[in-house]
Amino acid sequence: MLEGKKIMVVEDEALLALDLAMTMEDLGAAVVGPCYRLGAALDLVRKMKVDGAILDVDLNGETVFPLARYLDEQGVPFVFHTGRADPASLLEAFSRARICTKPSTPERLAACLAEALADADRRSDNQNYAPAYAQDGSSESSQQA
Amino acid sequence: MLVVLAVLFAAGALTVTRAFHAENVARQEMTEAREALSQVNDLMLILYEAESAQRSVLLGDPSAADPFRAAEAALPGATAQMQASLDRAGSDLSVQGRRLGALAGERMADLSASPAVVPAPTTASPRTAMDDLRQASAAIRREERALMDAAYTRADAERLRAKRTLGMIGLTVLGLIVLAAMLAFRSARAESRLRYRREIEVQRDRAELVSHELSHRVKNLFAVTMSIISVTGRSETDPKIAAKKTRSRIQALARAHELSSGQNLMRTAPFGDLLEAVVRPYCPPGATLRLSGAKLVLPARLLTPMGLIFNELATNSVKYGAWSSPLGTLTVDWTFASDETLIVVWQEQLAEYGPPQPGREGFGSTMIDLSLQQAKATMKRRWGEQGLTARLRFPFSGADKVEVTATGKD
Repeated sequence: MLEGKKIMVVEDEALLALDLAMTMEDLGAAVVGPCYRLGAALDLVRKMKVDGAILDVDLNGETVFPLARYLDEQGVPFVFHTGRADPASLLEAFSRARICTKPSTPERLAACLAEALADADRRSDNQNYAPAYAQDGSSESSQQA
Repeated sequence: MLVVLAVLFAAGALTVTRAFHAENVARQEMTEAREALSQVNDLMLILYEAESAQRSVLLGDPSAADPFRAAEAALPGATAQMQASLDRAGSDLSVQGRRLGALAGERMADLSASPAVVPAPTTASPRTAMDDLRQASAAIRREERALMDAAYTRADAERLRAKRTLGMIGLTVLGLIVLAAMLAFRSARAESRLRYRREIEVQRDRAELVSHELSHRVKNLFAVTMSIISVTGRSETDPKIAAKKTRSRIQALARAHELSSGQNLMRTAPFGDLLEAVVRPYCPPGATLRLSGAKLVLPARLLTPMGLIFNELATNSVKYGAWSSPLGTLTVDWTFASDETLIVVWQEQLAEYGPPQPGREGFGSTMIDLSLQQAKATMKRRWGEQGLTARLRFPFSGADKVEVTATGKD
């Protein structure tokens, strides 16, 4: 389900990041990161395209929101991995995001992320049936390639 | 309230004025009555004088004629004066005064008519005439006294009324003062209640914040613990060793985080205490651990990486380093450099110097590297004849609010 996908891992707990990265690799994904800080993650995501992301919400006193907004604009699906008690406020700001509460097994996170990727695929399919279909042939051409 | 007080004061002033006025009237009436009475007495004295002088003449004392004449001359004036006083006192007394004046005039006329001879026959006997006079003067006296009594009674009544009114005004003022005091007390109480409620709100907010932070940290720690289990499991093939390492790492985590609790959630325990908690348990009997450096309060974000780093260093020391023999020494010194960096020197001293023996590069060093990255820290390791020397640098950010004091810890 995540095979061949480029997945970004943003997590300030190094061990957790390592565990996530290892699990993603086990599932056949290519890990981008792991990133421990917001700045590094933003730099990285601007340089290379990613297919999905796992985001810890609190990064050493910073929130991951600037990165989440950027990914949202790019249409990249992501999962919030957080110990916060108020998922409602997260969904308010990022309606398409999925939330996986800490502590959670890497497998569950992976499943959650796979769902998010599937959602995003459905959304882009719907877009392709829209009247703008003729102008936007990018997804079709990539399928051919 | 002020209006009520003003009305009360006006009523009080009026009552007092009326009481004074009644008193004054009574005094005036008394003075007049006393004057009238003394004039009545004067008149009667003149008549007595005339009687007694006339009797002396009759008894053969010609010199007594002079006083008789004087009395005779004084009578009209005295009568007029008395009449004037009684006229002022009222019509009733005026009539009586006129009667007394007439009787006195008649009597004097009788006396004058026969100064030196046998008493001339008169309309009435001398005694009867004097009796009439006495009765008339007594009536006037009674009347005047009644008038005086009435004035006194009025003044007394007025005084009593003033006393009552003033008493009531006093009570009302007292009531108003009590009311004002009660209102002031109630408003003060309400204010203090409000302050108390605000204080409670502040405390509740603080407790909520601490509880949120704690819950967040607990979830994070569980996540880290799960990661320790899974990554240690991945790197070790022998389940016994994997279990042992997992346990020691979780224990280091637990010890490091034990230092932060309650009020110290954000600013945790001193660095020396962290080393004491994480490293000391590995010290074999007979071996030495020396800790020295400034008292430095760590930010909470460093607890997990530092706990894991020093746990790995300590387990390595037990496996391959100074603490692999019971005579080895481990010294940890730390200073807080001017560029807001904590510099830690981890120095092992083997019981027997020998060729450098870097330990096996296992998952432990990956763990150290990861934790260093997390803490933005660096570490330089050097193996000499006496063992490992590691220099670690932990940069602190402005948000960490570092507290440094001069007292050392060893």
